[in-house]
Amino acid sequence: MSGRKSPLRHLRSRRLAIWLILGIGVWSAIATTIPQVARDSAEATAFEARYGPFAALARAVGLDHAYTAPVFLTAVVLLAVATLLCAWERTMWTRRRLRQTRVVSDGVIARLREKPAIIVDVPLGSPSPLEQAAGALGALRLKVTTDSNLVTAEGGRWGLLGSPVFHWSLGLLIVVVGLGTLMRAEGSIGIPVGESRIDTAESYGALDEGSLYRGHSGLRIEATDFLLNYMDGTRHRGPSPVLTLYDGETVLKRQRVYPNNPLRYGSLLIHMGAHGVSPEISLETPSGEEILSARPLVDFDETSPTGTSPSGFFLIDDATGTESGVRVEVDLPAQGKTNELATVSLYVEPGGWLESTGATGLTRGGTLELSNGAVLRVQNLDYYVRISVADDWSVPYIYALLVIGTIGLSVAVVLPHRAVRLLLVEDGDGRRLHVHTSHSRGDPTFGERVERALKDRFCDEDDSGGER
Amino acid sequence: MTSETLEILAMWGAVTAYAVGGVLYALGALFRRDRLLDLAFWISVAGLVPHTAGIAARWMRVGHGPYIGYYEAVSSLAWSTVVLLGIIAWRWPKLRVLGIVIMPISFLAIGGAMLAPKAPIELSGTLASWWLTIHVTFAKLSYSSFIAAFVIALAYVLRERRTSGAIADLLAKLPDQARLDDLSYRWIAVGFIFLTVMVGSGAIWANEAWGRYWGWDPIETWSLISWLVYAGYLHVRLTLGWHGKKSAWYAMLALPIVVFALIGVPVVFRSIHGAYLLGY
Repeated sequence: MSGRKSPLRHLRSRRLAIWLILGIGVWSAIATTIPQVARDSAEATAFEARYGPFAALARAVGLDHAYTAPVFLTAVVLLAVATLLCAWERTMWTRRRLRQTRVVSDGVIARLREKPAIIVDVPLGSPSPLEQAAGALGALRLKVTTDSNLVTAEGGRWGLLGSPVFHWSLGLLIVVVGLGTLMRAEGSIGIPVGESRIDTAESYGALDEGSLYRGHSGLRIEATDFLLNYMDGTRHRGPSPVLTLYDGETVLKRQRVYPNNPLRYGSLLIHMGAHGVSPEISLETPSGEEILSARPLVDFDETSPTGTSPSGFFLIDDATGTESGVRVEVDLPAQGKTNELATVSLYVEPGGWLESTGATGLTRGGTLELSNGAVLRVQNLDYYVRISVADDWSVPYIYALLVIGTIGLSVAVVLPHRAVRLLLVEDGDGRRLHVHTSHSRGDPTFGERVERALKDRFCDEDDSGGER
Repeated sequence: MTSETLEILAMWGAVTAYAVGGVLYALGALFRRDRLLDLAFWISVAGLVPHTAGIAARWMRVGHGPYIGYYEAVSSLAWSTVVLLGIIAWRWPKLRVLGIVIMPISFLAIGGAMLAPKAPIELSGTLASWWLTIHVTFAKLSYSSFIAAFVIALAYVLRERRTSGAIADLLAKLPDQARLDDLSYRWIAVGFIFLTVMVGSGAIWANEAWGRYWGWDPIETWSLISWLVYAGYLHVRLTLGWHGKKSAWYAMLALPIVVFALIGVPVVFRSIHGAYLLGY
């Protein structure tokens, strides 16, 4: 056979696991000092301008998108494989260990006879020394079994399972997080209050879909109601909509949504993100017939003199197919995320089939007459909510693995496995107890405690025998 | 007397007790007086009375626990560290002398907190969750455990190097080296459980509050780094057999990373988690 190690043996290497753990830690630490392109592209550009060569190096190795970079993902995949292999190894080891503690082989007895870790002299007159030794070990809260001239004692048997459970959970956690990331979608939808949007890709303003995402639910989400500052008892919860989830016309769920109180349905998790104003603007013919209604979404913008960012919509001439843009601005009377006392400005952009025109300071009912005799009317000035919709099946499994892993870790730490084997040896030199101890955590005091308990038991007896 | 005045007076009482405790520990070590060391311990622990009263008064006044803002977060960390000294001394009386390291740390922490702005920061909608209590409680438990491990590891290393003098005499009162090595490891193992719960509960809370359980925010990332560093410690100890000096040095070098994650990161990086420390 060749001396080359198989790839699996490399991955099982304990040193590799440690290097991966520390490597991922160091990579992440460096990454926190480098602006991430996906999060803040402006900051990333400024960083590149300021630290040219260093920024180029960071970009070359992928530190500008550190947590999706091939280097990082490779390390995480290797760590997952190493952890699962380690979990398998520990499971096999635990299985063997659980069997060994029940059945003591001849080899173990021979080792106890030849190379004991602890020797305790038994006074010659001592009656039933094994029973006394068993009593001493029982006092250390160990479960004791006596067989012929051998005593085995064990404690924290469950502790043996802790490490495999922890490693399985951790390995599977990395796998589930990875799969979940590939199969999830997250994005935001702006919905004017009183209206609804279908959960399809087209409804999203910003959408991030994993490469294995199965497709959107097609359910209808309605912003049924909205409070600018919802009070939950005495606690301010901030801007909060009531959302209703429909399948066709069937209501699936209706709930007020605010931080820490998302709407949950199946794998969907819907949070309140932001809010803005949404004027309702209608287009009326010269005869007064309403032929179009639009609800543009206007965002608050503290850097703008009006307090909002402009929005708009298009008017399409059915006869020619040409379109004219209508720019909508909302002027807030004071900086603040409220539409009270706000006014609307409408501007028909040049380039369409309508002539440029505009009107400012419009309140409810205010109009802008167009060149073709039609009228744009501000019907209402309400809010819209921008909700965050995450579709991720993996979350409950992640929670479950976190809980199971923590239980495994706690059991391994709090209930360490302890075992004692004790053989009564009688020969020409007298009677002795030959003892081996093991402690899964390697507690140096365990052997000392066992030795002290045994010696105390027999010394007491020796002393009392002397007095008799 | 208003509750705010009571709070400030109580907190200064705690500062004084911790300062006196720290000084008496130093004098006890210098002049090799066991009585001074005992007195130092009891005065330090007595400082918990006004400290607890101060925290309670603020809790009642502002309506939330000591989680938000530098003053609350760091002062309560000092409180949990002194409580930890009491627990250690109760469980392992010989380790009482570790107060010589713990008390200066606690004094500096509470002193620093007293110099920080004390205006109450209201709990935002995102922070108002019972996950906050779980997350913060386990954070304090884990940081306190790592501080204990650090102090024990420091004692181990010092005793390896000092064989004579006042410090050596003081260290001689501690259990033997093998026991110290094991205790340092045990505190880290327990702290690692607490840290795991802290990171896990933080992830669950983030999902409830923001719709994502992990966003690579600097504080999230540094809490993961802390977790990886201590996972590395447990690995090198349990699989490569690092014990004694190597293990002690690792325990000592790991703590600054955790402290940076708690206090340094919100100051250095702009983070959505910054509210808990800086109130933005």
